[in-house]
Amino acid sequence: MLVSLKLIDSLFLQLPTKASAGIAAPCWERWDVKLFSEIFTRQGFEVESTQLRGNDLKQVVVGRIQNAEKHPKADKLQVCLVQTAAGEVRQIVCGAANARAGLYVAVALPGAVLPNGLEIKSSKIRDVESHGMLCSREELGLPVDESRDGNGIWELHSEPACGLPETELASRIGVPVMFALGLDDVLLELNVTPNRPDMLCHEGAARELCAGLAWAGLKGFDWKPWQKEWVGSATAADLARDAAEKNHIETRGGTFVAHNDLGVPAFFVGLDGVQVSTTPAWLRNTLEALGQKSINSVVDACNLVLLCFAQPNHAFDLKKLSAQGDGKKSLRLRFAQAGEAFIGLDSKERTLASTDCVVADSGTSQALLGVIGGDHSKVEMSSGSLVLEFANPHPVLVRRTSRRHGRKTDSSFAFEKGIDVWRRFESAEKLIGLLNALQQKTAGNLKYVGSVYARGNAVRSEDAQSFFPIDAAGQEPALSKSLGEFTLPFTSEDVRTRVGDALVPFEKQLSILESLGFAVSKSSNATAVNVVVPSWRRLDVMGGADLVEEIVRVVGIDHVPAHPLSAAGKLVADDVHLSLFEASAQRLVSLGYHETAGFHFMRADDWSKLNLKSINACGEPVALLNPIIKDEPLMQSTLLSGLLRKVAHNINYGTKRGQLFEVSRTFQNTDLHARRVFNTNGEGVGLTAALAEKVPHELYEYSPKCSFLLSREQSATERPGETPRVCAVVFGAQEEKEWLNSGERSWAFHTLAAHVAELLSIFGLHAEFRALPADHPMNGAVHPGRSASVVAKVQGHIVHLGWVGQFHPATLRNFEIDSECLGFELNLGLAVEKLLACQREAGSAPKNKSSLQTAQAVRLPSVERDFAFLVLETLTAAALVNSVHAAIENDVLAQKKIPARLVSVKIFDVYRGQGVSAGHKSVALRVTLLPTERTLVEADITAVTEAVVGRVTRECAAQLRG
Amino acid sequence: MTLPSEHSLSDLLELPHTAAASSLSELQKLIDDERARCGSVISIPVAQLSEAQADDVRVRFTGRKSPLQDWLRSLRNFPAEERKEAGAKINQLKAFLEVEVEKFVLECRAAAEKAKLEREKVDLSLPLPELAMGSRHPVSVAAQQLLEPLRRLGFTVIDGPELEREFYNFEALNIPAEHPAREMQDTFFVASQWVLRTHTSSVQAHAMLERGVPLRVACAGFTYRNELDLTHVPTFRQIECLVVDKGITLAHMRSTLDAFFAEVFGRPVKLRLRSSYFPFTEPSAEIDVQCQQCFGEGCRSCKHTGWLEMGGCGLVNVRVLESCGIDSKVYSGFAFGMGVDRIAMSKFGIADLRSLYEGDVLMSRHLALR
Repeated sequence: MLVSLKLIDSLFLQLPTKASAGIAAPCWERWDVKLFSEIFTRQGFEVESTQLRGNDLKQVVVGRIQNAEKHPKADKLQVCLVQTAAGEVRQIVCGAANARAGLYVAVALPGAVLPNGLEIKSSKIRDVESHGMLCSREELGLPVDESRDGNGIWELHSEPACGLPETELASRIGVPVMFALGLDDVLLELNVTPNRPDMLCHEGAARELCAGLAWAGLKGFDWKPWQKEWVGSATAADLARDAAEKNHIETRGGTFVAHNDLGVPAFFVGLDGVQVSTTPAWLRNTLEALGQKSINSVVDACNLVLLCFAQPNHAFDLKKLSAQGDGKKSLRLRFAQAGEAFIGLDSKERTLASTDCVVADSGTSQALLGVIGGDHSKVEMSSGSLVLEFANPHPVLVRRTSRRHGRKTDSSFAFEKGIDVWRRFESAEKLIGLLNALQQKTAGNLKYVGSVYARGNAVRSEDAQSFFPIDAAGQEPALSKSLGEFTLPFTSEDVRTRVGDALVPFEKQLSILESLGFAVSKSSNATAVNVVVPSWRRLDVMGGADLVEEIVRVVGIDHVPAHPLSAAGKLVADDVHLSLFEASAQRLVSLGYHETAGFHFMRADDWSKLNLKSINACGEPVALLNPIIKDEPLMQSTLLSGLLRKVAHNINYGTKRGQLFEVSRTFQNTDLHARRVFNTNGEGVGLTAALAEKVPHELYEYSPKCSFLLSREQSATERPGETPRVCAVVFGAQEEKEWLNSGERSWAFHTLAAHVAELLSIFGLHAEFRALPADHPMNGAVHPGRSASVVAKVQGHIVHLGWVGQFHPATLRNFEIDSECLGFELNLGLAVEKLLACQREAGSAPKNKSSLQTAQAVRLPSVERDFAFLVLETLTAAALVNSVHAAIENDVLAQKKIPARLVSVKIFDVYRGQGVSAGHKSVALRVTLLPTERTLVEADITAVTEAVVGRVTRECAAQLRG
Repeated sequence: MTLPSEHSLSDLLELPHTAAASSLSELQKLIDDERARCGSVISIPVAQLSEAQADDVRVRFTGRKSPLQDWLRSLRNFPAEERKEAGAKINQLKAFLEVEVEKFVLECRAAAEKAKLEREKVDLSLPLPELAMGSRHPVSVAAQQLLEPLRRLGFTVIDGPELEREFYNFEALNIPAEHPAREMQDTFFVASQWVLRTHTSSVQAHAMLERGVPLRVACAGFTYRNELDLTHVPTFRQIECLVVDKGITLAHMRSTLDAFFAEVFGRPVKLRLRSSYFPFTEPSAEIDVQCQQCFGEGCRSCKHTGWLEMGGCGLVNVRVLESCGIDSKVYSGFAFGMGVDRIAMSKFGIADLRSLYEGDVLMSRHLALR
């Protein structure tokens, strides 16, 4: 909301002045603008910008041309001698034809910078010195209307061009033009919250400022009554009475009747003898300062009422309305016909929809109700009869029409936010008064000839009835709901109860309410009163806290004291999964991964890019009705596609290697019982059919039954599934060639698997890796030989927690990734649940994998022994290691031959090549034993060696290598 | 004996020696020779010898190549009365040799080591190896840094759904259908009655309905709004705090905010509350913190206002309490919340909001948040 302090000062609230300032001083030097801004901001209307109008044109001053002669070397130029200060005359070359001796002009002095960027300098123009420039309105950035302003330099005495009489100009030579002509202003851009539509006008802004000034204890400001001279021949009461009683208006231009297919509350006012004229300077300046275009006296008056009171209205030229069959002129409120053409005041042609509300004469639409008037029936310079329309269209319909046609006007904005429907007749009275005051003296008074309700038709469409229901009592659409006083009780304890402190004495609280327009009915009881809510606050102030808020706003919520909160009533542990996810992220960081965040959306074709079987491969994704990124209409059902895009981004920007991860949720259109939640999923993005296709039976860790419960509501099971997951991706080499190492090192599947195992250890889970099942959702995305299902044994059951693997080259091609890439995705929600299940079962934390430290107080040095076996290529590492385990545990330790424990059997080399025959490999492993009673002797080691070699040779068809 | 040249070390060491003596004088001669021989060896400058040669010296004079054991054995041939003296002489020599040779060997080792270390000088200007360090996301770090003080202030950190019934996101928070406030946020709709939560305030409703009073909870999480431009992304994070108890007032809120922001910034900071409007609180206010770069003077990071907007706060609207099943005659509460993305940007000097969502490895490495 743009507020002109000058408009406030001239019509509503005489602002306190700081010091008496001369005519040369701009208004912001008279006023404490900083204080005013602070008051607005404190009271809830943040001042987003402050504009001092004319401040940048201080070097453009009033001058008087003393003499003008033709330029000796140019036909179209004149050499002027211009007085720009007492005793200062400067020579200025000017190209305007209307430059002439005796004319008062706007002189840009050397050093001035004009709004178009032109800097004025002393110079020679065709050998004649020129010390400044005579300006047109346009050159000063002011709107130009050729009929009023001519097309040369600005003639400052010209009334239509906002000038002053020459007698007054004479004393202002040398004064900045903007100040001399009163074009200076302070414009505040206020941020108005949606609960305060009353602040979308100058009266509302003035009221708040007035309350703030009163609270600040300032003197010298005064609330002004509406201009006494601005009266017409009808009062609000006349209008209301006539509207209710009459069913037509007799004007000189014919009989006028109104129809109402909508049932929207509305009345029309007829005026005769209207002479439309040029807008007076003060009104033109006011509108232009606020960035509005000045048209003519009637249109500008209608706009001023809107700017002053947020009371939208529209004037139709009666003679331009087509007559209906019986010769009467009429206006009808109705829904537009689909496809109906309409040309607005902005000359744009629009095609209307059947939900647009219009005001139409017997033929075509003359206005888009609440949004913009029509070009055909607009009021132009002429005289005759007018019809003024005051309707209260539905906020939602106005908003939709305004958006549909991309046209937001002050009027539509006011309707959307909510107007003061209780003051419609009052605003009509003010408009008539203003129009009367603007009549040229010679034209005589304009004449009010009546007003009429737009009466509802008996037959109304369903749409109309749903938006404008007629209550049983009244047949007619009521303009405002029964006015009856709206009263709230208010006691001396109300502020203390909510704020913790009274802030100010009760008496003072009441005077703050009064300063904002609330009426306080003081009774004998000094501590409890009734407060009448003014009409403009009815939409907002509805209960006790609202009145407290008013006090707090004016005093300043920043002045509320601080009272420490007592100790927490009960100490409750954080939701347990949060710290586990945090620990997971932290662990991945220590493993070298960088955390990323995404928008959590997914493209409709991501499934095919990942080579998955269908759009529902990871469960049915949830579709948005109104996606913002057009090709990302789905909520993610896996984090993988988003991360792979980030990999591609990095590679494109020259980063060839890295590790990324994301912890966030995936979403499914299925509840915990695997029941579909939204049957219309995909509507609006054309995916309904695709998403309704069968979801694979077996989803492993993507099963909706594995989603996570994030609320404790009763019907939580009817929620679409949300599952916290972690996804990590590595790309490029693990290590690049440096002077310290022998060369680049690629990422290995087993390194990623180790990361997975490390991550799951946070949840007390021991990760195992199994071949990825053929029907696993991610089967197509990964390398068939270098991928695995991540499982863990929990309470005797195998649980699928995720997958790990190298990506299939086809997947990488689809994401335009030209380097090797591996990754994993785990269902963290499931991991948390399994941890909690174990804890419930054990009644404590799950058993730690290591009992090493607890078993032994005194530690003896451990013993290592290396073996290398030649085995068949097909023998798995696990088979070999199991055999070694069995040899030591069963054949040696179990028989208590040696007092030691087996710490580990670890494969440290797998070799193929020279010295090893084809189809074979050499596997080297290291056995670590921890003596428990005494140091081991050579005989012990020999026993172990023999047992290992014996069993492995037997079981694994292995051969010990030299 | 004359001093041998360094070339003759091996000669000196290999020189044959007599294995036995038969008389005291003969022994004395052997002892003198051995002593002189050792003297010659250890007078060789240590820098000229390798560690292996030093070891040879040790073996020759105090180890297995030393003749002293043989001499001791040959004492059998001595007359009984001379044996004691002869033995003493040999032992005296042995002690002398052990001290001298050990000293010589140590000196040799020190010299050899010194020479070796001097050769091993590194080039300090070579690049350091790259460590595989990961990093946290700036917004995650900021969120944790905001949650930590809240935990100390007794708040329980809770979580809630992102796909939300309109009831929890709007109606329960006093935002009825067609309320102008629904325009403040452009919402992602999923299906009828379901939205992506537009604020973490929806978790307030869950907490009140499902956990009951008294409450002191905080929720950090992703929220969604249908906007994407230079200064807005559709997915971002918020933190929301709610206190509901008997007799809660605005003054309690003020005290909590003062304590919270003092903890966040590590020192007492100046707060400014400005009246504002949110449907779910009344009265409502915007929270400004005095700019910690310029302390109110005005600088670039606060756009010359001296203040940084942190978030919103207010007393929980009575209608919110009622629609969440809490008796507003007995209980009252306050809530405050803030956007984490913007706080993270100002904290870590990130200029472009969208760069937070690109997953750029270079930027992550540069910020190096752990």
